[in-house]
Amino acid sequence: MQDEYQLVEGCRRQDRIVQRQLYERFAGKLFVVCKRYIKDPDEAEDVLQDAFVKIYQHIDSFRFECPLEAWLKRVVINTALKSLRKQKPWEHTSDVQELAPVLPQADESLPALNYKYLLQLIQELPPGCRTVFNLYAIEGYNHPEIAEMLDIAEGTSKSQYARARGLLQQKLQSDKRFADGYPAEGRP
Amino acid sequence: MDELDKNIPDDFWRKTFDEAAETPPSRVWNSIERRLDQSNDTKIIPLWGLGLISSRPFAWGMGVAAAVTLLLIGWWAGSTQTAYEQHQSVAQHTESADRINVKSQAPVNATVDKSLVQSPTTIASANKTSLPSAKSKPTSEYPVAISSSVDDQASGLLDQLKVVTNQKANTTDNSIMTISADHSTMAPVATNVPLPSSSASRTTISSFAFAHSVSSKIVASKLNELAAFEPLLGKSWRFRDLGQIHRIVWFRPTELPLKPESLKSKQKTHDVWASASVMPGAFNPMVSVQSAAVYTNSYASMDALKASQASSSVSSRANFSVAYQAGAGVQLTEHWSLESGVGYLSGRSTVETPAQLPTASLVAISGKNTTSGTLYVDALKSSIHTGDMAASPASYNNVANSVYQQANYANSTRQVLTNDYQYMQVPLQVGYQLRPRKRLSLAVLGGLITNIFIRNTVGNEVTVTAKDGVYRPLSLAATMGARLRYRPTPQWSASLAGAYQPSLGLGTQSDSQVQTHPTSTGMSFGVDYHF
Repeated sequence: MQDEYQLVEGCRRQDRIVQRQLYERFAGKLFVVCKRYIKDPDEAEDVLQDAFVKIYQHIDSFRFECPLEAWLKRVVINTALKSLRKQKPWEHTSDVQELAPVLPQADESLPALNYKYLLQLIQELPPGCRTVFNLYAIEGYNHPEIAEMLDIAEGTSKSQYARARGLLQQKLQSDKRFADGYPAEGRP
Repeated sequence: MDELDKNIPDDFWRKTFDEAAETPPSRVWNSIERRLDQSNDTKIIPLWGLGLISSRPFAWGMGVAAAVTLLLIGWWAGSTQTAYEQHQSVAQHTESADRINVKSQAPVNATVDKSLVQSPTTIASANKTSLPSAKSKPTSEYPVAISSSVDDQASGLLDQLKVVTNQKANTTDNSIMTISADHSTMAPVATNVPLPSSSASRTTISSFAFAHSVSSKIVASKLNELAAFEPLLGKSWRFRDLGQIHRIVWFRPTELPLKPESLKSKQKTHDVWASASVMPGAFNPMVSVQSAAVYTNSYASMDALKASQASSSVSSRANFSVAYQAGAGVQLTEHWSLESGVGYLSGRSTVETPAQLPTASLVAISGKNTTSGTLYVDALKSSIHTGDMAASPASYNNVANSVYQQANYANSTRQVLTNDYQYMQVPLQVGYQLRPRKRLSLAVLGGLITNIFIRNTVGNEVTVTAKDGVYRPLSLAATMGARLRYRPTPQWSASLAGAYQPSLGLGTQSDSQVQTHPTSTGMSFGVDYHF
């Protein structure tokens, strides 16, 4: 927290050294965010690259009203959504009622898994489900907010989330490595 | 459905990815850097061109506009840096009294001690964390007296907000602190004052009071450092307009970490570099021959007079030149730099001079004179100070000069002579960085060059040195240009610079019959090593 102010000020001065420091500090986490939304690794790198260019070019708009990491994450998510918006993967979805019978229970019983394993599961989701699941389950947006962000109906957001949860649970249960509750690769 | 509608982020997923990080490939940063460089590329306004751009008034206007812009940018950069330094000094001053925590315009979560509050409309709180209260232990070691006076004449809202606090809370040894409030200004004040007397004994006094003014006096030798919050207490406040919605952001950026002055001075070490460069270009001495000497001659006829007047048209053309320079520079501020060095200029030029008429040549031969047959060379020779002749004010009135005056030179018979000027150069120039701290930087340069004349060789006939008294040993020239520097590593960089160097005065002595006004233009290539 102490040097966030210096990082931002340095980026405002377009000091390349400070820009590099900001990148090295946050690029790792933000790269995982990109990969959660974008399955293709090359596209994820492109999104990260676009996001950082936006960050450096619009760093003046950051007013310290929230933690720097949260702001950076928001920029990355918006950039990823912009990239996904071209494909509109969430438009062709069924309503939540159609998927109601397969709605899973909460995943509270899941152990603390290695993020790489869970990331792989998320990446295997269809794009629409993946986006809504990320926004709802990980970022913490509610369905009206997600509906507004993705320009979809609130019911569509709910159905996509339910579908994502169902698919994830199916994958976890069908995974032989997960027979005892801990995937072999995912053990912490 | 209920599970979905709860709108509660799944902690399992969120926590799993909260600290997840994966280093992206290095090519990502390289791409980002390349895109940033592209977006920051400065557009260069061409100073040459066709039509309107090449017209003289437009070029002058552009020059003036560029100069004004540079001045404004320089002034802005200077003032910005001054403000930043002031901000730093304030932060340092506040931090130096690290045991004093003064907060203004911020909510204070503190325990309200009702014994300190006399009126229900008073918003004030005093929190004593370590010292017992006056009631419980009036004979404590640390006496502190807090008094606030409120003028009862206030009306309206001010009356509701007046603060009357007159509390003798604790006693400390020989330390009395008084905080008084009256109605002269409106100021909400929240002060947390930990007493520095003991780590175990710490008293925090928080008051959030609207009153007309707050004046504080700290009368204690041990509490001198508490005076640091006085300027903040004097801040005047005014009521917001009723009905207007104000947004209050309860966020305060973390203060910059303080560093000792010694460390700061080390961090501000200036960038120093040494450079070596070579500048091929064009050198034109702009030679002219004073016609006075010719006019002083007594002509036998008008034809001879016309011929002599025409003969003064000596013209020179630029030719290839090369300058070698070793220099050093220091970056004074983010934008400004100072540079100097030493160089060697070998400037070639071509002089087209009238030659003697055939009849004059015959006269010269028959008179056993020393003329070379060209006006330029003869004028040079006649200007050379030799021995006692140098002491003579009219030094050109020597034998050679007299022969030179008697000779007739025809414009129709012209001869081309090569000149090879050699100068030592000592430049002193300032640079303004348009793209500081960039890998590809651009700077505008300007300054002076001291040209130290070494020699000039005219064809294979005459060699004029500094001792001959024709050329000034030292002459000044202005230098201006721009430099593009590519710095791939912190230590090494390559420079490409364009320079225009007109002389500020004559390159020859005032009494010399040959006058020069040297001007050189070139493009220099150099390498720099940054320490």
